[in-house]
Order: sequence, then structure tokens, then C-alpha cells
Amino acid sequence: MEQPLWVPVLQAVVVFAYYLLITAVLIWAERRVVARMQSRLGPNRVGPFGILQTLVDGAKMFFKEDITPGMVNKVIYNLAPLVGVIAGFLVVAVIPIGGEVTLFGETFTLVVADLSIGVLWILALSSIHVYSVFLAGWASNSPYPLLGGIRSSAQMISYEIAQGLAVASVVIYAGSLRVSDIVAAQSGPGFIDGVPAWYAIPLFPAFLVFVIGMVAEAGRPPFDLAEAEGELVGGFNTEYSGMRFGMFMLAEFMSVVTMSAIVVPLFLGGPAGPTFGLPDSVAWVMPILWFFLKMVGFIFFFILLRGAMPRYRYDKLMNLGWKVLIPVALVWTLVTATFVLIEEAGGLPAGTRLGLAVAAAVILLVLLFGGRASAPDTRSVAKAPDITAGRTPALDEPGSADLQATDHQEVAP
Amino acid sequence: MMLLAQAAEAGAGNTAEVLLFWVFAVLALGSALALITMRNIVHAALMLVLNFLSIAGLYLTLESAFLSIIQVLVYAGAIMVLFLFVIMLLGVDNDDLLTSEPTARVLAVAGGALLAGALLFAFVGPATSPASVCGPDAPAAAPDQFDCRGLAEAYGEDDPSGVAFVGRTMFTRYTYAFELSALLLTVATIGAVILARRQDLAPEDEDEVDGVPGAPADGDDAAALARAGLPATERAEGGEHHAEVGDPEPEDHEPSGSPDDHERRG
Amino acid sequence: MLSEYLPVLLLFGLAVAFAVGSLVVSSLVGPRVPNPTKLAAYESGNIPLADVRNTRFSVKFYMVAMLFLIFDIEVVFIYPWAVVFRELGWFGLGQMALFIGILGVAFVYEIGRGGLEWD
Repeated sequence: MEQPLWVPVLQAVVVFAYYLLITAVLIWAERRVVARMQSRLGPNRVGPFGILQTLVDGAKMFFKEDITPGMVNKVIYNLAPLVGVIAGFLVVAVIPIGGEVTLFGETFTLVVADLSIGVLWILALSSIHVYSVFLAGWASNSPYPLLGGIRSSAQMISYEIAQGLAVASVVIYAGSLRVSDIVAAQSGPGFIDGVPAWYAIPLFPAFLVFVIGMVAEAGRPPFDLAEAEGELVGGFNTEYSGMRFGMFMLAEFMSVVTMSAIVVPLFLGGPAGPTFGLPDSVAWVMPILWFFLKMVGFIFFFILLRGAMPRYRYDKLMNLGWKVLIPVALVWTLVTATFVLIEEAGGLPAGTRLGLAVAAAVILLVLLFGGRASAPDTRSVAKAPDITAGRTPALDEPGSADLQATDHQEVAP
Repeated sequence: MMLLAQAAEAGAGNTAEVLLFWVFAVLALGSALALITMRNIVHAALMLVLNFLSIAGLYLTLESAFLSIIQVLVYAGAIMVLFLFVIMLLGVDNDDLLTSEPTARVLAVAGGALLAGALLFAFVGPATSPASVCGPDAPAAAPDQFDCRGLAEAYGEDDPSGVAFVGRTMFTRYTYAFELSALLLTVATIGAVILARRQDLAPEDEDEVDGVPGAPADGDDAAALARAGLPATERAEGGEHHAEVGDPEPEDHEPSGSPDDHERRG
Repeated sequence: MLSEYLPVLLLFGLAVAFAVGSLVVSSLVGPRVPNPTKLAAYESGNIPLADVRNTRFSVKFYMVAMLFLIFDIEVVFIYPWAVVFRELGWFGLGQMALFIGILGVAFVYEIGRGGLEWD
């Protein structure tokens, strides 16, 4: 730890700028991709392909009136957006965005801090994030935000459990909470030759649970119940405007980036990847590139989901979380542990292993779909107001500069 | 607290550690004081969150990163969310939450005094010695100094956060306690379900908690639910209920009586 | 040990500076023209009617939070076990299975009693 002070400063600044920049590009990319899916053009005026649109929108937001409505609880109303953004930045502190880098004679890893509690840090910070949503809803002192806030905080805590349990099986395999250990444990040869030893393959159910959980945790379509325009106007942030609204928007989009960043070291081998025999002087770029590509893959998945899926109904969302994902993750944790212990004891003959894998797959399928078949959802017929209606494309601006208008339809009288 | 301070100062003279200790200690005490004096219940709850976070900071300076993050995850992340949900369930600005019966006050004062006495005894009483702080294995040291190993040393090189240490201990020495905790949680869940279902059977009545002695069954259910959800807050506030200092905030709508008649219950 | 948290502290400082800075700049350069309608609660253009101060929420949310607490503690117990379970072997796995089983009773009970039915 005899590093000069500029190393931690550089690590912090690089990571901060990295995620801020990617978030800005994501906001533009999402509008472009979703526009393409809806046969529109999307923002294409500012800069090449409109890539500077987010910058202009952000700048515009500074000059918007930041209304503080009369009935709000001022202290908490101001605090809530800060909590969201700060927790969003802090959660990625343990994620390595690249490999080792040597600069001015100092060798260090491109991560803010490789903490010994690693993955628990991620979980703890996402549980802090709940406060942002809850407090925003409560402090607004207004019906829609209150409903939206309590609703989305219930959603977030539910999927937090599923995510925590999914990560538990990763920890079982890796035997450590430290993210660098988890990445290192995935560096060996995989089950089959030529396939990387990424945990996404042996722990596929956990991976699936985690990915579904991260979409819900980020409050993104199809799980964006917080801002269901049809019923809750804008959800917990209805009473916010100007830059404070911008903070919530930033936090939401940044959670897409951070969630995509978190899943990479846990399930996809982190920044590891082939360096194609490049000389050492340039080989350090490859981990950065690999990490970036893997992360962008997930970000793209988020965007496709938004473009393709209609919004879930709230009771179905909670049922999915509690009655499907959590039991699956729990059972899978025990199954993983059993398998690892069998491996430790000398392993099984190949035939038995295959048989067990098939049996496990069958059990999982039964758990996933059997429950739904045995308990048909009669309420969906009985209930009158079905709010599964998706995001209407018309609400998504055709290249307009007014991002805020998409979520705040008629705020200004 | 004193002991911790001494231990921190004795430990290798790490100034950053001592500085952090004082920062977190002041934050913890300050937020605890604010918690029991604030009139707005959500503000008080947030002070409790701050309190939990500063305690987590104290754990961190004491080289127990695992305990520290668990403190954040469970207390700040889960228990306080439950509290906030319960507050929402009961209605935030309900005057009923700010009043308490005289017997409850007396009990609270007595309980608080008892707890404070026990803590004081534990920290400065005869039971406190280097051996009690460092465990029986610690080498004998002069009475006025603490010459024992830090947690990081006890955990070992390859377990800096102490997670493996906790795991090993919990699943060997404290097996029964561990399984009993599962039973405890199960009982808590079943109790919560039963209370909630009884609440559900009662017709929806907005005023049932407002202290109006309406239909006995309904009112009792709501009150029972309130008690079920809130005892931990009451405990956290200890016996300091009497220490209520009016902290009227502009956005609070003041209860009708004089401030002395009203007191926060949890 | 504590020094590894220094960069985290720096990142925290950067995040705070960024967030607070943005809000301060925005409040300096942004217009401020309040009027009563603007300052009222937003109820889709209607005159605000609802008083949310004494709004009470469905007990369902309480049930969710309760279950969340239980499972959060379960997750927290699983992590130290997951780190050392190779040493503990089958005995540790049995303990954890029993633990999850007991909590499973609570879970099944709550589900069975309709604790998570959103109707």
C-alpha cells in the first residue's frame, strides 16, 4: 500500500468519469435504438448521429425552473435525489473496469477499491438506493408520488432478495466475497473445451434470476411500475422538476449501466479475455475492451427489453419475484452447494453427472412453469382495469429535445 | 465508548483510525439524540438510519468490515425499510403516534434507566478488564493498558473482512443458536401474518387508529398491529421518551394540545 | 486495511460534489417564477383534493417488508456459510438446509395464507 496519493485519486476520477460518460451515451443510444425499433429516426441533429443530444439536454436542464411545490417536506425532498445518484456512483466502486495498468512506474488495477467484502458492498448500496425512491415519494406529500414511491420500494426490496440469493451461489463456487477472487476463479478452463469458465454457464439459473432481478431493480421496462404513466403519472418523481428531476433520471439510467457492470464480473468472467498475443505495451487495453463489450451487451439487452416488452402488472411482478425467482434461487443455492461438495469428494462418473444435470433442469422447469399451470391466474379475468398496456410509442418523442416531456406530460399548466 | 476510544488510541497510534472513530462516535451519538428529540416521525427514522450507518463506520474502524457491511445491509437496508413501511401503514402524521399513556411513560423511563445503568456497569464496572475485552487468551497486561490482538490479526491474512471467521464460528460453535434464529424468524413471520389477516377481516375504516374508541375489535386490531410492528423502535429509543424537546418544524402540523401532552411513541 | 477505503471515500466525495454542484448551479441559473398552481400538488390538472398526510397503506406492503427482512437475514447468513462451506462439508450443508427449511415453513405459511395476494 505504498502507492502515492495520485493513484487512488486517479482510480476514483477515472471510474467516476467512465460511468458518467457511458450513462450519457446510453441515454442517446436508447433513444436511437428504440426509435429504430419503432421505425422512427430518434435524435439525429446535434453532433454526428445526434450523439451530443444528452449533453444538450443536460445543459438545458440547468436552465429549467426547479419548482419546489408548497406541500413538500423540504429537507427530505432535496435529499432524496442526492441519495439516489450518490448510491448509484458508489455501487460500482468494487467493479474492475479493466485489468492491471502501469503508469509512471506504478502498477494498479482499474477499480476504485477491491474490497474484501466485495459483493456485499453491491447489495448494501442497492438497499440504500431504496431510500431515494421511498423518501422522494413520501416527501412529495402528494398522492401519485406516495403511491409510486411505496410501490417501487416494495418492488426493489423484493428483487433485492432474489439477486442476493443468486449471488450466493457465485460465492459458493468462488469461496470468496472479493470481486477479484470471483473473477480469478472464472479464469480457468471451462466444462467443455473452448468455452470460458464463466459462472453464467454452470450457474445458469442463478444468472437468469440475477438478470431478471437487475431489470426490476433498475426499475426498467417491463418492470417500470414506478412510472406507470397510465396510473401513476410519473411515480415517485412526479413532483420533481428541473435538475432535481434530472438527478432521478440520471440515477435511473445509471443503474442500467451499473447493473450491467455488476453482472459482468459475477457471471461473465469480468474483464478477462484473450489478448491475441499482443505485446505487453498494448495488451492492457484488451481487458478494458472486453469489459466494455460485455457490459455494452447487457446495456443493449436493457434497451431491447424497453422497446419490446409491455409493462408488467404489479401483482404479477410481485408474484414473479416472490413465488418464482426467490424459491428458484434458494433451491439452486443448495443444489450448487451439493454439487460442489460432490466434486470435492472426488466427483461423479460422467453418465451420472449428465443424468443429474437433466434431472435438475426438469425440476427447474417444473418450478418455473408448473406453479403457473397449477394456479391459473383467474384474477386477470376478474379484475376490470388491466394496466398491462405498454409504453405507447407516441409518448416517445420523435427526436425532440425535451426529454422531460416524456415522463412529465402536463406538469406545467 | 471510553473503552473503544482508549483501544483506538492504543492501537498502533493510527491517527486516521482515531480521527474516524471520533467522527463516527459523534455522528452516532448526535443522530441518536436527534432521533429521540425530533417530532417528525420520518425524520426520526432517518436519524436512526444515520445512526446505523455511523455504527457501521465504527465497526469498520475496528477492523470488522463484514460486520460493518451487514450492519448497513440488515439494519439500514432491511429493518429501517420495515419501519418506514409500518409508519406508512399507520399514517405518518397520525396524532395517535405522538401520544402515550402515563403508564407507558413510567415504564419507558424505568426501562431506560435500567438499560443505561446496565450499560454503564458493563463499561466501567468491575467486570471490565483487559481479559473481558480481549478474551481469556489475551496475554496478561498491566491493568491500565490493553495489550491484545486486533480483529484483523484474529481473522488472519487471507480473511481480512472476517467473513470466514464468522462463518466458521457460526456453523460450528453456535449451531444451535443459528438454527434457533431460523425458528425465531419463522415465529415472527407467522405472528405478522396472523395480525395482518385479522386486520384484513375488519372493514376498512380510515379513522380506526385515530384514538377514537370505535368498534372495540377493529380498534384493537389496529393497535395490536401497531405494537407488533413497532416494539423495536421503542426499544431503540430506550427510556428517553421523557427527553422530548419540542422541535416544531414548520411543515409539521402541530397537534391540538400543548406540546407536553403529546409524545412520540415509536 | 482502512486505506483500501480511501478511494471509495474519494469516489463518494466526487459523487456528492457532482450531485450537489449540479443542483446549486441549476438553482443559480434557472428561473424562479412561482405561482399558486405551480406550487400545488400535481393531480393531473385537477384541483388537488387528496390529503395524503393521513393516508394509510395496505397491510400488504407491511407483509412484503416483513418477508423482505426475513429473507435479507437469510441471505446474510448464507454468505458466511458460502465462503467457508468447503471446510464445513456435509455438516454445514445440512445445517443450511435445515435453516432454509425452517424459514421455508414461514414462507409457505405466508404464501398459503394469502400474504402476497394482491387483490
